[in-house]
Amino acid sequence: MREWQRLGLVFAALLVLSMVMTRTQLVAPVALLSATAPLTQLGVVTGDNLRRAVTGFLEQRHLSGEVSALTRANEDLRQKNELLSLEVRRLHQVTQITATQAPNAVATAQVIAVNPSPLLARLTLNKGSADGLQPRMPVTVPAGLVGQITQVGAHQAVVVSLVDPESSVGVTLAGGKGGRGLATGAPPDRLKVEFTSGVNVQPGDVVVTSSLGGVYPVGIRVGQVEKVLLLGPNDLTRTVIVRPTVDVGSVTDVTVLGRL
Amino acid sequence: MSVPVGPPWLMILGYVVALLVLQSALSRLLSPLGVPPPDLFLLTGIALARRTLPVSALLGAYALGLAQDILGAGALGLHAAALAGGTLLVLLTRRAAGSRAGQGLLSVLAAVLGQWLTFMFLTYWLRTGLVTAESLVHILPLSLLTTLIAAPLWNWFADYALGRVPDGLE
Repeated sequence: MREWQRLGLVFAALLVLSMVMTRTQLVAPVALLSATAPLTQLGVVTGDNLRRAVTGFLEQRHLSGEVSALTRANEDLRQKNELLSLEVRRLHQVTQITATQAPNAVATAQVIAVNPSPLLARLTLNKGSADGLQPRMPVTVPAGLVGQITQVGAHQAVVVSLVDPESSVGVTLAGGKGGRGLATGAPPDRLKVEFTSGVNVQPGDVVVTSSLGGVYPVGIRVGQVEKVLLLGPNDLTRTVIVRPTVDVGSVTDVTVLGRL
Repeated sequence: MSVPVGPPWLMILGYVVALLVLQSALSRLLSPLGVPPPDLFLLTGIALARRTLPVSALLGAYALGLAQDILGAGALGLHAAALAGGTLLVLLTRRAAGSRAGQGLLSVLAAVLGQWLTFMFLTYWLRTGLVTAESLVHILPLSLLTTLIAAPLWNWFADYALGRVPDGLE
């Protein structure tokens, strides 16, 4: 018998054997499977670990990208939050000012420049006539008066602050103590107020705006009396040094009030 | 590297252990991706066909297929017959083609063809949905591809564990 014929016969026999076994659904005893279970389990565990390693590596790359994206988003949100907080602070400032100083707030503005001169105390705001600002409009913060607008551009305005030598504000003493005076700037950071000699002014007294001059609403806090100068024999007015309530050097956001 | 470094029984045992572990690991690794793993049992059938006499190779392949059936907890005889069918076709192809270039590739193609032809025959015999048009379109090509990719490596390992193919048989 030729070899390939023998091979064919052997295969045919094996095939018939398989046909019988598969037809009868002959299944191996579980004990045989159990014998090799540790080996197949080792393969399964190895495969699982490899798959987890690959998946973990890929996910880590994906997560790294996601972390970067979230960090960027977080940064954006932080900036937006910062802007919104600033806006809320400004609106709160306006609310406070309209409630305590004057109801006719025109705009809020930011200080974008200060006069570099050691003698002058002037601020530049980031809003101008396009935003409704006009000369002689009072500028305040919730703590007190800042000054008044003297020049207006389309998108910028200049404020002469209280401590500027060219500034003059009609003032009176708060708390019903009366008195009428004119506060002028005394660089670098004080005001000099001339009261009539009969006014009983003491250090610590609070000075607020009066209707004198017709520029500022009445009652806005200007400062506190720091020193009362001695009255000379021929003096008709009593001069006091006032420390302004608002530190012009640190003001960032201001509110502009409408003209009287 | 191709010279075995231990007693033959130990090398064969190591080969069987590696076969079982790797086949399980590859199945676990590739199945979730929808890719059938390379059929290392079939490659072992080819290795037998290269190393032993034809009838012994056929019987050895059948025994190996029976082991695969036992491991898969399926009906005995299914993979046994398929592996024997694949090995038979490898033997016939080698006889017809001689020792020409591309023998390895041809052997794998013949083995996969023989295996699936036997599967199809048994499907017809059992009147079951064992082999479907779907599996012929999706599983067979991928299975052939992964087995082809694994074949050089597995041959190299078989050379190491079972020894080189004797000149007379090659």
